[in-house]
Amino acid sequence: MKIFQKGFNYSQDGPGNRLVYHLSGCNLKCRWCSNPEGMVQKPGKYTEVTVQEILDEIISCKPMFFSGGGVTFTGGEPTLQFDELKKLLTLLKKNEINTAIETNATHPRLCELLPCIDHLIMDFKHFNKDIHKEWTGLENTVTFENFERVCNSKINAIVRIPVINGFNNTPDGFVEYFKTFDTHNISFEILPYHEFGKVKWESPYTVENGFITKKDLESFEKAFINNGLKIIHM
Amino acid sequence: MMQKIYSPEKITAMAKDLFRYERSKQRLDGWFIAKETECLCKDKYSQYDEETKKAYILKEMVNAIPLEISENHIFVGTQDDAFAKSYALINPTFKVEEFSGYCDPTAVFNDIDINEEFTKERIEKIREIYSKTPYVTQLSEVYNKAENDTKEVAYFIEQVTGHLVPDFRYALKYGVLDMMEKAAPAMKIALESVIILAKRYQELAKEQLNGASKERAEQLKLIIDTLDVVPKKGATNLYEAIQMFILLWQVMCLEQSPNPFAFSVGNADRIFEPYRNGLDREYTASLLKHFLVFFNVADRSWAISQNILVSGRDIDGNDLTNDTTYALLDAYYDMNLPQPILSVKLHKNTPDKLYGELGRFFFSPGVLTPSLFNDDSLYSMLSAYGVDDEDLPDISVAGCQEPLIMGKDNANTTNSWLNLPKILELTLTGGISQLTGEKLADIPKGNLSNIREDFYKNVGFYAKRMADSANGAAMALSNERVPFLSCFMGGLESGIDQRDITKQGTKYNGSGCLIHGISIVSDSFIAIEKMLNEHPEYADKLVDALKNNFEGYEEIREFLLSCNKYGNNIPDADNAAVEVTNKVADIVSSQKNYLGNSFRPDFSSPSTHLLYGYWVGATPDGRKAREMLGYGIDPLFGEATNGMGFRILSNMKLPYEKMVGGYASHLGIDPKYFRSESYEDKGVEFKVKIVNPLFFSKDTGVAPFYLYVNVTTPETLRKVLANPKKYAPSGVYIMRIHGTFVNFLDLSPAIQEDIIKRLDPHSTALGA
Repeated sequence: MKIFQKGFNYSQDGPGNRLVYHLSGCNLKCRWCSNPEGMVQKPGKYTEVTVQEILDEIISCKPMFFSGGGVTFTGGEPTLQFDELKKLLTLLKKNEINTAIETNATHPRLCELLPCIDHLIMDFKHFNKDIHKEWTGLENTVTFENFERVCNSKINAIVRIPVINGFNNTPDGFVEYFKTFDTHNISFEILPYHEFGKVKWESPYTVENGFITKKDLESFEKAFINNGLKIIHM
Repeated sequence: MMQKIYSPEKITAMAKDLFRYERSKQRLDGWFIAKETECLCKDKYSQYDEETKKAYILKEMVNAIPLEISENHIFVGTQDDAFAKSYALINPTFKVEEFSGYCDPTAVFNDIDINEEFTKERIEKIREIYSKTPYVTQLSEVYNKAENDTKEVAYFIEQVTGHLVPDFRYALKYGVLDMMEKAAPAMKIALESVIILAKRYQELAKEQLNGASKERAEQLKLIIDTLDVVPKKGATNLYEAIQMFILLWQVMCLEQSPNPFAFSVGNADRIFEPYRNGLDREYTASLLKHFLVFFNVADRSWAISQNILVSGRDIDGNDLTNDTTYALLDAYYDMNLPQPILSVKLHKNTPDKLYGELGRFFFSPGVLTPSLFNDDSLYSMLSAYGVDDEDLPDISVAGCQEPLIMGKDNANTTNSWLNLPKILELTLTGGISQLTGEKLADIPKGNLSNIREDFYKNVGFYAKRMADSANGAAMALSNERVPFLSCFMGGLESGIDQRDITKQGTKYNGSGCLIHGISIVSDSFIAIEKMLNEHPEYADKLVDALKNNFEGYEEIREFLLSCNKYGNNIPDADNAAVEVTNKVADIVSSQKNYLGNSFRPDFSSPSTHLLYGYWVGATPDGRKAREMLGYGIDPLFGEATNGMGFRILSNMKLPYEKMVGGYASHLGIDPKYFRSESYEDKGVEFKVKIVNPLFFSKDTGVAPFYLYVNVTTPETLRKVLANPKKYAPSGVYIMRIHGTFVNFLDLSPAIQEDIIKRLDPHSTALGA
C-alpha cells in the first residue's frame, strides 16, 4: 500500500484517539484540497508497505486507541487502493480494531467495505454534477448512488460537506436532495472553507475568496435542522 | 488573632512585595560567614567526635549569621545564608564549553564579590583553611585519580549535598523539645540550634516593636507569640506550622552550606492539612504564598531544584487530594515564582477537578507547569524494589525527578553520571578520543560486527571505575557530618548520622547514577548493523568519518541518518533502545556503594545532555561532534518525526521497572491541539490527550511515571526573546528545564536555545 502520511489525532476523523493513514493518490482534483501532496502517486512521495506490515504496526498501536479510538484511512482517496484496503479492513475487524474510512465516495464498490467499517465518513461536495466536475475534475454520479446505498444500509455514517464561497455556499439544493431519503443513520458535518493546505500546493492554487461567513454557516445548519437532517460538530 | 491582624489580600500583597525585595538582593554573603565561623571555631571542639563537633559548630553558625525581619515578613526565616551565586545554568555568562562540574568545593569562594567587608584576604584565608580539611583533601584525591575518565566525561562523579526529603511531620506535631529527649547527644545539641535561632528572631522582633506602626506592631507581636510556641512545642495551627517548617528548613540548609541544592519538601498538602483547622481556601493560599517566597533566594532564585509535591494516592488507590492541595495550587498560580518546583502525583483515581485546576498552569503562557508523576506506576516500581507498603504513600521527589521516600531514603541521587555515547566512541577507537586524539583508556578496539557486546563490556569497565570514584566522593563527604538533618532522616530512632559510611542511618540507601544517551547508542547500533548489511564498503571508513565529523564522508552520514531511529514505534530501533536500557541498568545496579547497596539507574540528564554532548565526537547514528545528546529517555531532537502517538508508543516499551533512580522526559506541546474554551476544560483535555495515553494505557509491566511539558511553540519563545517587554512585562517568563522551573529570561543563551530546540514539534504533533 502507498502511504504518504500517518499519525494520531483525537476525535477528528472518527471517535476517540485514532491512528490515521493517508493513502496516496486521488481521482479528484479539488481546488481547495488541503493534502495536495497526496493527489498524485509520485515515487518518493509515499512509502510502500504491505498489508501485513500495516496490520502489525496497527496492532502494536493498540494501547493508543483509547476513548473508543482505532484506525482511520483517508487520503488522497483510500478506495483507489481498493483490494488491499478491503483485505486490511477485514483483518482489522478480525483483530477487533475499530475502523473508519474517510472517502469521496466515488468508488462504485464502496459498499463492499461497509461490513468491516465501524465509521464511514463520506464527502458530498455538491448536488450538481456539472459544478462538481468543474471544481473537482470529476462528476459525482457514483457518489449519489453510494449515498443512497449508505442510507439504505443502516450503517452510521457522517456526510461531510466542505462549504466554499463561490462553489456551494447556500444550503439550497442540498436540503432538497437529502430530504428525499431516509437519513436517520446519517449525520451531516458542515466544514467551513480553510486554507491550511494552501502552502503545500506546488501548482497554482485557484480558489479565491473561498471563506464563508458565519451567517452562511448558520443558514446551512439551520436549513438542515429545519428539514430534520442531523448536524454534528467534530 | 491572625485573622484579626491580616486579611488574605493583605497577606498576598506582602508576599508579592517580599518577593520583589528578595529579587533585589544582589549579594549573598551569609554562606561565607557561616563557613568562616566553622573554619575558625573547629579547633575549639577538636576533642569531640565528628557529629558532636558539627553540632557545636552549627550552634556557632546560627549565632553568627546576621538576621533580618523586613517589613513584609509575616514569618521569620530565610535560606539565603546557605546559598551562593553558583548555579551555572542560570548564570548569563555560562558557556557549555567551560563547564567543569561542581567538583571543586573551594570554587565557591570565587562566587562572592569582593568588597570592603569581604576582602580578598578574608576570603582567601578561609579558602586556605577549608582546602586543608579532610573533606576537601580526600575529595581532591578522588578527582585526581579519576581525571583521565572525567576530563572528556566518560563518567562524572560528585559529592551529594542536599538532594533529600526530610520528614518534619513529627517535629511539627510534637515539637523540638520532645525530639531532644529522644535524640542521641550530638543530635540533641544540633536540635538546640533551631531553638537558638527562633530566640534570636524573637529578640529582633521585640527590638522592632520600638517605633513600629500600630499595624506592624500587631504583626510583630504575632511573630513573638508564635515563637514562644514553635519550634519548641508542636504547632497548633497553620501559621505556626509554616513558621516552624521554615525555621527547621533554614537550619537544615545552613548545616550544609554552601549550596545544598535540591532539598525537597515532599507532599506539602498532606504536611500542612492537619493544621488548617477549617481555614478557608483563600486564606490558606495567602499564607502558603509566603511559604513559596521563602524558597526564592536573591536576584536569580539561586536555591535551585527544591521540590514541592501535591496529591497522590494511598495504598488502596484512594485519592489523597485535599483542600490544602487546591490552596497550594492557587498560591503557586498567583505568585508564579521561579522556585520552588511544583510536582503532582497522578493516578487512575485522580479526580477531574484536579486536572481542571491544573489547566491554567499548562495553558497560560509564561506560567510554571507542574511535573507529572504516575503514582500508580511509582507504587509498582518501588514496591518491587523493596519499599515497604507503609512507606509508599510517602514517595517523594528529591530535586528534579528522583523518587525516594520522605525521611527514610538516602539516595545520594547525583553521585555518578555515565556518558554512554562517549563510551561508544572509545569502544570504536580503542580508548582514543575522537575530539583530541588523546589516549584516554587502555581498552581494546571494538569490532563493528560485535559492537553491542564490545560496548557493554566497556560500560562494565567504566561503571566499576565510576562506582569506585563515586564512593570515594561519598566517603570524603562523610567527614562533614549532618546531625541536624539526621534527626529528620531516621536518626532520631537509629542515632546514626545520615552520612555515616559504616552504619546505615536511613531505612533505605543507595547511590544514584545518571545514565546519558541511550537513544544515541541504540540508534548507532541499528545504523552500524544496517551498514554492515547494505554497505559493507563503508565499514573500514566509519571511524575516520566520525573522526572527521563526516567532512568528506557526507554519503556515509546520509546513509546513517536514513536508518531507523528510536521514537517512531519502529520495532528494531525501539528494541535496541530497550536492550541498551536493560543492559546498562543491570550493569549500574550491580555496582555497590559504600554501604554495599546498589547504585540506582537514573535515566535523566539535567542539561548535562548538552554539557556531555560537547565532549562526544560524531556518532554512528549520524549525529555530529559536540552536538547535544538525547534528553533523558527521549529520542534525539529531530529523530522522532511521526508525532506524539508513535513517540509515546516507543516510550512505553522501555523497562521502567529498572529506572529505580528515576528518569527524565519532556514533551513540547503546541497549544493549538487543545480546543476547549476554559482552562478547566483544557486541563481535562490534557488528561485525555496526554496523561491517559502516556501513564494509564500500558497493559503490561510498569508504565511511564514521569513527564514534564512546556506548552508553547518555538515561534512563541523566539518572540519572547526578541521582545521581552511585550511578552513578559513582569520580567519573569517561567519555563521548565529538566526537573526545575526557570525564568526563561534569566537563562544563558545556550540553554535558551536548548529549550527551543527540544520543543521538537514534529515529535509531539497531535494531528495527522
